[in-house]
Amino acid sequence: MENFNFKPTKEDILNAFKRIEGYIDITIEDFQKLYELVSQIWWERLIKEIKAKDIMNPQVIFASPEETLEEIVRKLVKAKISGLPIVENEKVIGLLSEKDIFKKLEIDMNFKALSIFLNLEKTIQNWERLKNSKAKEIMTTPAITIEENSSVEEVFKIIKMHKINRIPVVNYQGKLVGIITREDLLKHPFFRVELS
Amino acid sequence: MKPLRIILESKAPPRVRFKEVCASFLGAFIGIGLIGVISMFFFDSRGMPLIIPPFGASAVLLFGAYKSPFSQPRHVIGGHLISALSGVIAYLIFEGTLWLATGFGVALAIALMHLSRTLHPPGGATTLVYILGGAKFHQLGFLYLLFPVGIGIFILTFSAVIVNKFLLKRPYPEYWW
Repeated sequence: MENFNFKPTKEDILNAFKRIEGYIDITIEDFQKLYELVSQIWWERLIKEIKAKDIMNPQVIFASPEETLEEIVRKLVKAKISGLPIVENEKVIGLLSEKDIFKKLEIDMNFKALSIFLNLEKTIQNWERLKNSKAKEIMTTPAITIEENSSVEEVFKIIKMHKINRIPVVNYQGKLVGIITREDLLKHPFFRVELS
Repeated sequence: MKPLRIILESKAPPRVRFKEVCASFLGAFIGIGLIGVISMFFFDSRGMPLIIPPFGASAVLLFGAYKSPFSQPRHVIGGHLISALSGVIAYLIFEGTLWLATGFGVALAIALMHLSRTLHPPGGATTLVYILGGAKFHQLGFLYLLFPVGIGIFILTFSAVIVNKFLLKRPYPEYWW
């Protein structure tokens, strides 16, 4: 799927021409150009029309600000996710990601596992020191969120601008209703092109 | 082998099915034949045939490329009438200078067809038929729009709708206006 080509080839167009009865007075090159332009215009319209709530995952795993780092790490490992929103009274007050935790434990992001081995003692010391810290003490604030009726175009813009991997979706009252992760977006070939 | 490959690997749209070839043949035969018959019975004896060469070009589009925007009634009727008008105007202005009349006439026809979204390539020939047709056409003046152009193109379009839609079961016209 990585190198999947969404543009029709000249052979595809030729085969389509053959399936239509009657003479089509457009050259294959012109049709190809037209098709690409139509696809582009269609996509530009679509990402304005699709809303955040249409693509979000409504089942959000989150943590309360009083939960400890250890509890949160267990949650992340169990759910196989790399970050979660910190929620108080249904409102997102911060975000805690794998990246934030590594930073606190002084683990080099580029050599995660190797970095732990090399500095095993120090990492354990840091972990012992921080594992009972509360989420509210280590989370990233303010949380960047998006309103559920915002367009997907807006979602892409925020993800790219802030270089973030997940964005909690909130309703008009600011209450958490879902989450959009870069990982989920990358599963969709069209969204992958947009994010690249 | 190379010249043969060049011929076989043409960039032209693919050849239509044989059934389409037969349908186009039959359609054009009926359409142009009908104008010919009407012309023979009602107009030839008066020295002014109803059929003019541009109708042959229109028939190619109406029956051979009926899906094309050029072939839709708006373009066929509008394009011929606008081109006829352009021919008459060009001749009136540049009567003495034929090259200017022909050049201006066809250019005006294209411009007006573009502006009115009625582009129909055979229209250019309709313009030239009037300018180059001699006294027989020139004495018609603006009547050229009605006869032979208006009546002829109306019959041809009408027969194209009947033959394509009802006899050959082709989806024609794709739009009227």
